[in-house]
Amino acid sequence: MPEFARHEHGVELELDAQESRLLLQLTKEYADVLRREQEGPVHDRLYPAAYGDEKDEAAYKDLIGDSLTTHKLEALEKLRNALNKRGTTVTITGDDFDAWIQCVTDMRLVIGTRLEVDETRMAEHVSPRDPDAQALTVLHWLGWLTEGLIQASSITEP
Amino acid sequence: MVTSPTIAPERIDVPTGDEQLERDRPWLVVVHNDPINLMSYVAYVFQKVFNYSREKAHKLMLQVHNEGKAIVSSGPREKSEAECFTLHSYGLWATLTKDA
Repeated sequence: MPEFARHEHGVELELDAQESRLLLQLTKEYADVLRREQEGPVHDRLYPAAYGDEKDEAAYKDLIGDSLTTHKLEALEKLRNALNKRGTTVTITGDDFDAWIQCVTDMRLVIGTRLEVDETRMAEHVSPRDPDAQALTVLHWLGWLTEGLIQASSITEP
Repeated sequence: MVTSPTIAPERIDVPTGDEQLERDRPWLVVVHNDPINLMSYVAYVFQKVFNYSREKAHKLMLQVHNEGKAIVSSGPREKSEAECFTLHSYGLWATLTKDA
């Protein structure tokens, strides 16, 4: 499992080789989602409507343009670069920290939305007989990663 | 980030009392509960985005969790839109609504 340590300028994350590969693989799948999915539940979850009113929403979407996608892609690149360069021991500092947790959160949203999870299912142990066992395990693993990063960040200091 | 839209000169006219009142009513930023985001993560985002204290962020997160949604901020439209965009960048389900 990943290990987390508070670092002078951020958080030091230690993954094993398999975890590092898994995370890189997940970033590729997430990049595909950002590129290809222009509609549907996953897209709607990654790009929520700000307004209930159609006209207001259209004006808002015009205003923001591609900026949310650009933001997501930049966060993704930071995560990928760190993993490609550093492999298993990654020091996440400054703005990169939020890029990491945003990107990992988005990957969780993609998996969870596809599985149509609810809070009950999220709280249950994953049964090996569950046809979604693998995806659910990855979803929980990414949650564990998020939780560890947040706990190790200084903002959670009392 | 969201940039401030520029107002064309022809759109600047003297507001009537009702229009002024309508314009002054603040916009509310609402965060809705979702089954995927972690409670600790949501509280972190409130601290980070709004600079709220740990206690306030935790209280708002619990309100989202227990009541299904919470008003996390209010203000002029452009500010609220910028905050909504930031919350979306963190993967939170945020919407905007006009104060009743």
